[in-house]
Amino acid sequence: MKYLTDEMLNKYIDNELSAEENEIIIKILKNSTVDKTKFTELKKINEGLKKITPLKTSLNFTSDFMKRLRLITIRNKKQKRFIIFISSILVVPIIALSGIALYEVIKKSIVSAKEIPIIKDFSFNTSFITKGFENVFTPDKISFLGISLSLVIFILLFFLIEEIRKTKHRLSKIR
Amino acid sequence: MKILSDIEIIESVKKGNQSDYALLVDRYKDKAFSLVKSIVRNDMEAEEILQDCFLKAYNSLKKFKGESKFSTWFYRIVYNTSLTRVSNKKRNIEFGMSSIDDFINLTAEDNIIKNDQNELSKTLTVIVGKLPGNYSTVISLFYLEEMSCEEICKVMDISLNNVKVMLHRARTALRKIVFENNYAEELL
Repeated sequence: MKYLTDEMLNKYIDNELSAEENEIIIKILKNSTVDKTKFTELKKINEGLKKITPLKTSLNFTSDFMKRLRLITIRNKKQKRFIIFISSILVVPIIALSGIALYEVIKKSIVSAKEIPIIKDFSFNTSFITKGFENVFTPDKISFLGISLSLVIFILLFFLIEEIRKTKHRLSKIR
Repeated sequence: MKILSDIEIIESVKKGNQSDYALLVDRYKDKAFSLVKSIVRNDMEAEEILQDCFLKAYNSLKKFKGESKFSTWFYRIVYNTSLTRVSNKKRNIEFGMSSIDDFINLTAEDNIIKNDQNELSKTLTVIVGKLPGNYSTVISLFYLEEMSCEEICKVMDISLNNVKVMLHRARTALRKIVFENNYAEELL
């Protein structure tokens, strides 16, 4: 005798069969004890599975995770600030060096432009810039510029160290 | 007290209320843990992976536009992360459709019934954990997360037909394990 397959019975349980197929299954189940037993077993498994409960994580899972999340957030912020500080420390001397280079270029171009009458006008127009540069980069004032740059770097370093100290303090609080 | 929806919590977290994320963690941790455990089979590792999953989800919250349910989106992260971890460690676990028959012949030696859990649902939880990965995952998603077969397709990235076949095969396997090994008398 041919019995119903588990697949058919599962589909019947899940209401995946057509009305006609359902009727056929019902008829077979009425007449076949083997199929009826199999159906009852599958139904009990299905009912049992509906009642299964999720496994439990450890009690401190959420608090441990949130602690980790806060730490990572703080670390990320700290890293960002560190990068900003480092880049600002690097950017200031770069700007200063670019200024010196620009000054040298302009100075040379003015010297050569004096020999060409047309560009003499240009040198006249830009003279206030070159004079400004000349004032800043005179041997006396270049040391003043160096002191100023050093001061800026020291101030930036102070903030950087202060930030590291604060972050360490925050981390120790979380732990 | 008003229970916040997933979307409301996500909006709050996006606004900078990081602590609200704990609500989502509490809501999904146990169910997601069952899903991870069905793949990695180790409590310690499962918790570690789950923490990484919550972290990934947190970092990607800006990308979550609410087009699908948060649960579907999150379980996809959980499923993929667990699979990646398993494949990285080159675990020799059965994860194919053909391997289910090997698990039907569970015997009393497996200590399934020799514990205090004498309710069908509790014992089923233990037996489900012993099914091959994909089957265990489908059962977890269908019965624990109460996902539809269509949602399970999206999470596992397989066809609807495959999901249904796996679900049916898993149930059949469980029926055979429980009833053919005479656990039923002790259980029911």
